[in-house]
Amino acid sequence: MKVSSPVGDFPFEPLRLKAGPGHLTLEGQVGAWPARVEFAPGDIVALARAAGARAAVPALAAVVVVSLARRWISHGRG
Amino acid sequence: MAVIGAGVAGLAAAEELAPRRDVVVFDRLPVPGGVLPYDHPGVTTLAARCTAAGVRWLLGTTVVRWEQGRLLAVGPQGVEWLDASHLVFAGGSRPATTAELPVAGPRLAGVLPAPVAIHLAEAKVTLGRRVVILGAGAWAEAAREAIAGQRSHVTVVTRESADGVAFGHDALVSGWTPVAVSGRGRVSGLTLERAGQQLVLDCDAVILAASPRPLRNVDGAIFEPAAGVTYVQPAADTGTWEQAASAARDMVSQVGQTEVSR
Repeated sequence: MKVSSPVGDFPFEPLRLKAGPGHLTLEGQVGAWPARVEFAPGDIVALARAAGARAAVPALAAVVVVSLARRWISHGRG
Repeated sequence: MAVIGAGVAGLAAAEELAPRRDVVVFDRLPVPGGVLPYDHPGVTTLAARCTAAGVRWLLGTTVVRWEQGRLLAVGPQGVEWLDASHLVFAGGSRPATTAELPVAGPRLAGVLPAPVAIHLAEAKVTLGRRVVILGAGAWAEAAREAIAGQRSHVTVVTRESADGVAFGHDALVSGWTPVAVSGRGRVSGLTLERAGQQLVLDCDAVILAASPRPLRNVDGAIFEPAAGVTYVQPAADTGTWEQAASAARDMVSQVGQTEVSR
């Protein structure tokens, strides 16, 4: 993946996907820097809206994953 | 041995030095490349050669101070002093500032060094509708290319003849010297002089792209000569990346030759 910024383009290398309470965290590296992207359910919906119908299926799948992750975490703690 | 700068010059210098010294390359950005993209073939080629030669990397790390025998680095690993027998400084170049040209006047919005203008333009920021580019070299050409899609009226100003302008423009003013910027808050005019005559260009952006200078931002290694420092900053535009690499290798060919090799 490539990330563009005002100081140039950088590679984003995803390393781990973690489920947290109410969000997913994609951990990785931007070159030598550690980096992470957090997705809340609202972000998934916004992504789907931005991408249009083509993203509906993967977005729905992502929402399901987040929901399952939340349920799994809450059960694990209980 | 520390090499500051992971652009083509720094990478080529590191590759040249690696067979005879332990070399660590520093760059404030987290990837090699400098002004070139990290996935540019020249960058990937040189970086792979460096790694194969045993060069170590401290990228995403800013060196802020050099004292002979050690340097102060700030990066993901924290703030720390690191030992280094010699510093090879390959920090690239920058256009002359308004003070260096010299161009008089207050600090005004819209007056931008070419590297900043290029970054902003690439981030889709419109720089202005009547843009003046000072200079005709590589910085000027890159700035012109970056704003090509902004539908701006572009005037190029050169002190010398117009022969060196190898890129498109809407107007060209050659043989005039910029002397002042004017405006209230934002630049609205650039005053030029020639043989006692004055000409004022109406503009809302001025891109500084003339008279490249070596970029020096490490305390203790700003002024040349500095003890224990070799500068790998060619004064002139070195052309292709291969030519730039070759020039950098030449500039460090004698470094470390007389000291004990690793």
